[in-house]
Amino acid sequence: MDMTLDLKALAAILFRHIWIILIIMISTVGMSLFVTYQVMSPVYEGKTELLITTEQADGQALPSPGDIDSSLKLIDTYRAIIESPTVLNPVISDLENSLTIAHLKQKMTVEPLHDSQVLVIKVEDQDQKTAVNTANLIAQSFQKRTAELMKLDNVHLLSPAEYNPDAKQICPKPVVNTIISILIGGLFAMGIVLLKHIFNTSLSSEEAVTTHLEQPVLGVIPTLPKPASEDSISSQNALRQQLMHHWQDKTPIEPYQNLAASLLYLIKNETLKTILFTSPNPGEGKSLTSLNTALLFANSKKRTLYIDMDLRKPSCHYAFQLPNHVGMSSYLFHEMPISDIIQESEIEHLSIITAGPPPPFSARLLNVAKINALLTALKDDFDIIIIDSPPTFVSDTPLISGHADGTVMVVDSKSTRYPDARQAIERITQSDSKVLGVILNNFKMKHVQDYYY
Amino acid sequence: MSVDIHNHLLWDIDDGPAQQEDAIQLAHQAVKQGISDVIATPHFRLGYAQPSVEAIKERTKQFNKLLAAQQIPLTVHSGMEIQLFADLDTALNTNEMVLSLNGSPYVLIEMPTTQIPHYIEDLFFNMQMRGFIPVIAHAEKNPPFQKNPDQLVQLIEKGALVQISARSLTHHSQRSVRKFANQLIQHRAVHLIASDAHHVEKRPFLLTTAYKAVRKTYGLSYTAYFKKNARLVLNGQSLFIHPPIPFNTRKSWQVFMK
Ligand SMILES: Nc1ncnc2c1ncn2[C@@H]1O[C@H](COP(=O)(O)OP(=O)(O)O)[C@@H](O)[C@H]1O
Ligand SMILES: [Fe+2]
Ligand SMILES: [Mg+2]
Repeated sequence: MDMTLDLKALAAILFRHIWIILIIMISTVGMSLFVTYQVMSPVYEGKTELLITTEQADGQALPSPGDIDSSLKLIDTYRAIIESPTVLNPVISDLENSLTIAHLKQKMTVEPLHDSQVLVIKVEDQDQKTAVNTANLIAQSFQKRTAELMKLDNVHLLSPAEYNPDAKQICPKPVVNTIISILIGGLFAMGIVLLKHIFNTSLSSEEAVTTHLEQPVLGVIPTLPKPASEDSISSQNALRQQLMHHWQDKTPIEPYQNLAASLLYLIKNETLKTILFTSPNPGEGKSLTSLNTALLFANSKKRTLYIDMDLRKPSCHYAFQLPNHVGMSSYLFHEMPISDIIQESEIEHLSIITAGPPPPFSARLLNVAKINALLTALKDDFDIIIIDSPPTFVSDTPLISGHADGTVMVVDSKSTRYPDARQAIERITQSDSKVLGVILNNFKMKHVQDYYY
Repeated sequence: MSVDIHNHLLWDIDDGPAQQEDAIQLAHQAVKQGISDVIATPHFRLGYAQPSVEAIKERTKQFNKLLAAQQIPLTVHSGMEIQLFADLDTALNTNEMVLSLNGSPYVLIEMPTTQIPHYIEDLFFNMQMRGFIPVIAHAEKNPPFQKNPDQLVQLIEKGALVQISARSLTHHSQRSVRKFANQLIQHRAVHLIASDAHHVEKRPFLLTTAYKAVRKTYGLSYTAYFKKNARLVLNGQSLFIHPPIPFNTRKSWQVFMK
């Protein structure tokens, strides 16, 4: 995976997933609004301001006002007094609710107003009246105590807390919460989209094949429509229907023609005769692709032989509606002569070797020499030999591919992961076979990407 | 004109007709059902019911003479319904103890009713390697297949063909058997229909009745397929099959997850 994403590509990725991002953002905003209005209860504030004068009643100066240090100390002193039980206990008894001092301390703050000699006492409560009341009671109690304790009369109530029916709650703040939730939701969504992109291992485009597999794309086959069946007995035989639907109209669809053309080019230039079709996993389209290719070769009057070597999951006898009581396995496991296992298909120039009865577990070792002997014996009778094989991870496949002139790897653009495909190509290469390229099957033509490239 | 590949028409050989007259009656019934050729398949059960190959062939010859004399337009061919045993493949090779259907590659096999033996895969493979094709007789009546129909699907994938009884598609059989027989057809797990006739009243020929039922439910192409296959078996010619659809006897949530 190439990790350098330029900004344009990044924007394109994000834009491609704009709906996911929007949906995540909208749902986080919705969640935050719900919490703000339904879960959190509103909190109101009562605020009193006290002026502490620096002169004593008898006119003696307090420590010099220029001395910041001592003035700060003074503020700390007053704050400590306000928060002391001497001041707060009377407040609690006046309030007539079972509040502890610690609790009350949590709800109140004492701060000087911009380094001035004005002290601000704030009290928060879910009920505005209680907040206002408490703030005023604290101020009064403090005034009284200073007079009693310090014999000072320098605390003046500047502005008492007042009840205001239009007052806004101080918390929660819907606007702030919404903005925060939009930011969090947006970041979260973009994170998800980028992670998804980074961990996306599908081969969803030709570019993905060339960058991840370093193989040429021999053909791109779109997802074919499922033909409606008129005949009840052959419906469900999707392979035959998809094959024959286009074929019987004599209009084999263009993507297969392009594929056949690029294979033909390779065959001519590199004098290849036997081509093996495989894929990293089952069901990725080896059989359908190889069958269509064989049909097109036969159609262009090349003497074509199709061999079904997927002995465990054979399918070409279903596609061509041929008996399968003799086939490749009869030759491999029972010495049946080669000429007895070749069948003629309903299509001119196309001969078939079906897989034959699937061998049981006890007889599963392939005799590679016999495969080689068969391919060598038939080389002169045919122009092209197409071999359908099991998925690459099955041990048969590298054995067979070693005797083919070239191998093509069919990948499913929706389901094949490129690490699997890379491993498959490696296995084939290790068997001394030449990988000719990749066929990107089951490609969704109306890909959003098409708008960007 | 249709072909019946599984019935017990020969008299005094197995649990089919006891007398020659009963057999003649059955032959009349076959003709009425539009049948021109029957392969008579007496039971072969290793150890306790082993009609000899010669006896069967002799009785067939005798029967055909009788039919010709009475101008009944029916031809009888010889075969066997062989209860499965482990050495069947070698027995078929020596050609002395058991018979295939009319000397064709097709071998009619009665499966055990308790379980499908473990050696079946090897046996069927070896048979096919030697040129014989196993045909499973009245699969719809076999309890192991009823319990797990995918076992049957797997045997089809291994090259076995499946025959069901004509009776199982008609109102003469139990609803559950009829249902299972139809399920097998829907899953393309049936290749041949045959009468398995034993007796004019108790177990008659119902082949045409069954073909009519198939035509009504599944259409003409299906009936034609079954009829053609029976003739190919009689002639020893090869036939093609459609891919069987697995039953996927998995738990419903697993199907859901797919
Ligand atoms: N491009 C395609 N569009 C639609 N269906 C497809 C396509 N390629 C394959 N299929 C279907 O997917 C199924 C599996 O394909 P198949 O060729 O049998 O895979 P494999 O041989 O790799 O196991 C078949 O039913 C086939 O018809
Ligand atoms: Fe029977
Ligand atoms: Mg396949």
